[in-house]
Amino acid sequence: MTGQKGINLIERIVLDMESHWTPSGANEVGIDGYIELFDAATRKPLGLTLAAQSKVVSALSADSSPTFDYWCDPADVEYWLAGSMPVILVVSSPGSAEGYWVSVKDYFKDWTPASPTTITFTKSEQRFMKDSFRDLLKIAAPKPGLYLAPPRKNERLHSNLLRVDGFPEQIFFADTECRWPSDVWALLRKSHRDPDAGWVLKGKRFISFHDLSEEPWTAVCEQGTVEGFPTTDWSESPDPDRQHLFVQLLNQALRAQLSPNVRYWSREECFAMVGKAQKIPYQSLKRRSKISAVSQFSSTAKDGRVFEWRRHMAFRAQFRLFDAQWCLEITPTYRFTRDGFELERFHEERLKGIKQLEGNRAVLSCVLFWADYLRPKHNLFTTDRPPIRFGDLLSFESAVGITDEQWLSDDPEFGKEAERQRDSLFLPDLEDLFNS
Amino acid sequence: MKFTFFEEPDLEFAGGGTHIDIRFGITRYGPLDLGDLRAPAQLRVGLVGTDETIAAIRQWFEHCKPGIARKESKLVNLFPEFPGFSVDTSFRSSLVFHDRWCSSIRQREIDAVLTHSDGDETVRQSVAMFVDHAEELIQQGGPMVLVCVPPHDLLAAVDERRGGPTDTDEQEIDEGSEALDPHQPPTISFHDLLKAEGMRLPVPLQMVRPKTYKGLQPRKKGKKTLSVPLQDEATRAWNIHTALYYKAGGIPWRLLRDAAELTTCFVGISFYRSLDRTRLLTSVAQVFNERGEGVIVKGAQAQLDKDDKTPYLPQSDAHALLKKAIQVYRQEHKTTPARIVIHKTSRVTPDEAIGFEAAAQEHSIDTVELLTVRRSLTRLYREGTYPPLRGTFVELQGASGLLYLKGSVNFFETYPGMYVPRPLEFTTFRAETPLERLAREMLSLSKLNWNNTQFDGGEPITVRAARRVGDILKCIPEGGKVQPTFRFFM
Repeated sequence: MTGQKGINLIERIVLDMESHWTPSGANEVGIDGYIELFDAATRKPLGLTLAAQSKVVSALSADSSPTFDYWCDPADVEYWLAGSMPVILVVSSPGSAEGYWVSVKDYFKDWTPASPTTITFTKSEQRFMKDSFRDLLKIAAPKPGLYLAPPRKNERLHSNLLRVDGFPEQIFFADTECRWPSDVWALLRKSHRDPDAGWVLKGKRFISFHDLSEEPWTAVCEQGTVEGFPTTDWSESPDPDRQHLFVQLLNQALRAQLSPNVRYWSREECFAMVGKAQKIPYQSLKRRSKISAVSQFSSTAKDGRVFEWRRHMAFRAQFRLFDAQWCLEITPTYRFTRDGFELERFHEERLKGIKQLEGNRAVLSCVLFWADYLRPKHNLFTTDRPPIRFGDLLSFESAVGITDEQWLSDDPEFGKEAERQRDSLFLPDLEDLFNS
Repeated sequence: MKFTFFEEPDLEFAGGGTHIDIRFGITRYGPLDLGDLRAPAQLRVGLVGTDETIAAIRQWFEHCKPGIARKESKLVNLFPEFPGFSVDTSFRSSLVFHDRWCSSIRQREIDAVLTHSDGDETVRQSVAMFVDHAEELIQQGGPMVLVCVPPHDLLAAVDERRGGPTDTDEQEIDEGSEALDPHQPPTISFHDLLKAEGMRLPVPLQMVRPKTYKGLQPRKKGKKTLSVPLQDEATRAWNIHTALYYKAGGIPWRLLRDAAELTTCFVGISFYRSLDRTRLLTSVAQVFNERGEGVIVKGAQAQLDKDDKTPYLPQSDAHALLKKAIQVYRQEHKTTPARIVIHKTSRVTPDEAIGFEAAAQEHSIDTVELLTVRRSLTRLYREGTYPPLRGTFVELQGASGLLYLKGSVNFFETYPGMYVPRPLEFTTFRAETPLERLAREMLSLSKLNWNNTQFDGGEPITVRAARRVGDILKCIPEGGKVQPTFRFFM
C-alpha cells in the first residue's frame, strides 16, 4: 500500500508536467514505470522515455537536515545500469508528499560491484516536482538541439507607452505680431509673471491651451483675435498637418507642466531632472519605492585632482496616436552634468557606458518611475490640475513566458550582470517590486 | 491593440529535413542543395595575403576539417560543436587549395603602401594591392571564391580611422534618422572598398581578419597591446565555412514554404549616401526569394521631402527601379514570382506606390504589398531579468505592428544580445495580407543572413542587405561595374 503511494506520487508529478506515466507490468521487478516526456506547450510527444523506480521511506520530513542517505540493493543498481534507457530513482515519503530523485546512470557512472551503493540526496537540489521536467529532458536527450516551444505561462508585459487620459477642452488661437519665439519671450518676461513654454508660434498665429485673452498672453496676442476651439478638432483629426501641430502643442505643454524640477534640454532632446542629488519616492507595480533621480559622483585623478559630476534621470518623449488613443512614448536616458545644469565634459562617454550596462529590469524601473512622476498627484494644497493628464502604461497579457530562475541557473553570468546594473544604477531591488 | 506570440519558424535543409536552428539543421541533415549538381562539393578557394597569413589560415582550415568541439557552456544550443567540413561530414563539401591559387603579397609592397601614403589614400592603395593580386590569380581560372587575408599591421593602419564596431542591431534603419554631420571627415572602409573594387572580378571575395583564425584580437590599452578573446572557435568555424559555401554558389538552407502560398519575392528598397556625405541619396533595391538568392539593382537619386527630409522617389523612378529589379531577378532565376512584398526603410509616398504597382503590373504580378520598416522606440518589458521573447508581436493599430526579432530565445535559454532589444515597427501602405502574416514573414526573413549561423537575426534580410549594399555601392564610382547577385555584397 505504502509502495503504491510512492508510485502515485510519481504519477501525479509526471501528470503535472503534462507528460505520461505508464506503470510497468507485475513481472517487471526493479522498474515501477515509464515516464514518456511531452512538450507541455504543444502537447506533442518528444519521443523520449525514462524508466523510474520508486522507493518509500517512512519519515523524511521529521529529519530537518539538508541531506539524507539511501542505501540501494546492489542487485537493483546492477539491473538499472544494465539497459540503455535512462533510469531515475525517486525516494519518497508519501505521508508528507515529498519525493527526491536522482539519475542512476549519472550517480553510479563508474560503479563496480565492489563500490558502495548509498546515495546521498541533497533535499534543496533534488526535490522531485513539476520543474524537474527540464532536468529529466537533459537526461533523456543528452544531445543538444531539441526544440521546445516556450512554456505556457501567463505573463504581463509592460510597454513604455503612457496613456494620455485627458487634455484641456479648448485650444486657443490668436494673431500676433511676433515672428520668432525670442520675441515672445521678451514680451512675456516684461510682464513680471513667470511665463511658461506652453505655446506654439506658427506663422503669425499664437496657439496654446491657455486662454489667450488673459494675462500674460495679452502682451503677445492681438486682442479681439482670440478664438477658442474644441481640442477634439485636433486630437481626433485624421489630417496629418493638424496632428503635427497638436503634437507640437502637447510637447510645449509638457515642458511647461514639468518645469522647473524637470527641464527640457533641446540639445540632448530630452527631459531631465535638475538640481542636487536626491531620491524620489514613486509608486512602482506593487508598492512604493525610491529611486536615485539625481546621483552625485566623484573621482580622484592620478595627480590628485578631484572631479565631481552628477547623473540625472532623463527621458525622451514622443506623443503618438494609436487607434484614437494618444500615448506618450517614454525612452529613459540620462544626463550627466557638472553642476546640476551644464553638461559634464564626459557626458557622451558616460552615456554610452551606461547604455552598455542596462538590461530589461533597469530600464523597466526607469520607465515605471517616469510613469508615476508624470501621473497627477493628489495634492491637498492645490486644486491645480496639470493640463495633460496621464494614466497607466499600456500593458499586455502573454500566454507564453520564460522561467527566469531556470535560465539563470545555466547562465549565472546574466544574473550577475543584472545585479551589477542594479547596484551601479542605484535601482531599487526589483524582486521586492514584483513580489508583494 | 492585439498581442500575439509567433513560434520560431522552421528552415529546410537537405532531403526535406527541417529544424528551427541553422547549425543543428545542417549538422543533422546537410545543406539544402546537397546532391545537387550545382552544390559546391569541391569548394575551390583562392587566397591573397602575405606568406604568413596564407599559411596561418590554411592551417586553421585544416584544423577545422575534422570538426571543432563546442564551447564549454551549459548553453548547449547556443554553442554547438562544428561538425567539420569534408565530404564525410554534414556539409558534404571540402575546401580545396592549390599553390597556383595563392598570391603572396611581399612585405616590401605593404611597407611601401604604409609609408608613402596616409589616411584614405592608404585604404585605396591597400585595396588596389589586394585586388591586383587577386586579378592575376583569377586570370588562370580555378577558384570559386577568393579569400583575402590582410596582415595585422595593414589592418591596424586602415581600421584605426573608423572607430570601434557598432552593434548592427542597434543601428537605425531609416535614412531619415541619420544626422548629417558636416564636420565628420569622410572615411573609407577597407572592407567595403575591397568588395567594391572586387566587383570587377568574376568570383566573390571574402575578407578574413586574423582574429577569425587566430582567435584573439589585439586591443590597445594605453601603450600596451592586450589580446582579447572573441567568439568561440566552433562559432567562428560555422560562420566562415557557411559564408564560403554560399559565396561559392551553394544554398545552405531556405525558408520552409507552404505549397499553398503564392511564390513571393521580397524587395528591400533603401537609399545610401555618397562617400563625400553630401545630401545626394541613391536608391537601391535588393530582391530575395525564400532561398535567400538575392539580386541588387541600383536606381535613380532620391528627392528629399521638404517637411521631414525623408528620401523618396518620384513615380517614374520608382517604376523604373522595381521594373529593373524584377527583370534582373528573372534573368538570374528564370522565374517570376506571383507576389511581391516591398520593405522600404523610409515612408512610402502615394507616387511611389503608383510607380511600384505599375512596374509589377507590367510583369503580370498581381499582388504587391508595400511596407515601411524601421526600428522602434516603443518597447515592452517583462517582469523579470530577461527581455521579451523573439517572436513577440503587437498589432498597434490596423495598419502597423511591433515585432521583436531580437529578444530572449527559448531554444538558447538566454538572451544573446548586447543591450535591451529594440523591436521593429512596420506600417503597411497597401497590403492584402493580414498584418500578422506579414510579421511572420519578417520573422522568417530574419533567418536569411548568410554571414551568421545564429538564427536570431535582428532584421529581415531585405533590410539588413540594404545597409551592406549601400556601404559598398557608395564606394563604386559612377559607371563602375556592379555585380547583380547578393553573393558579391555579403
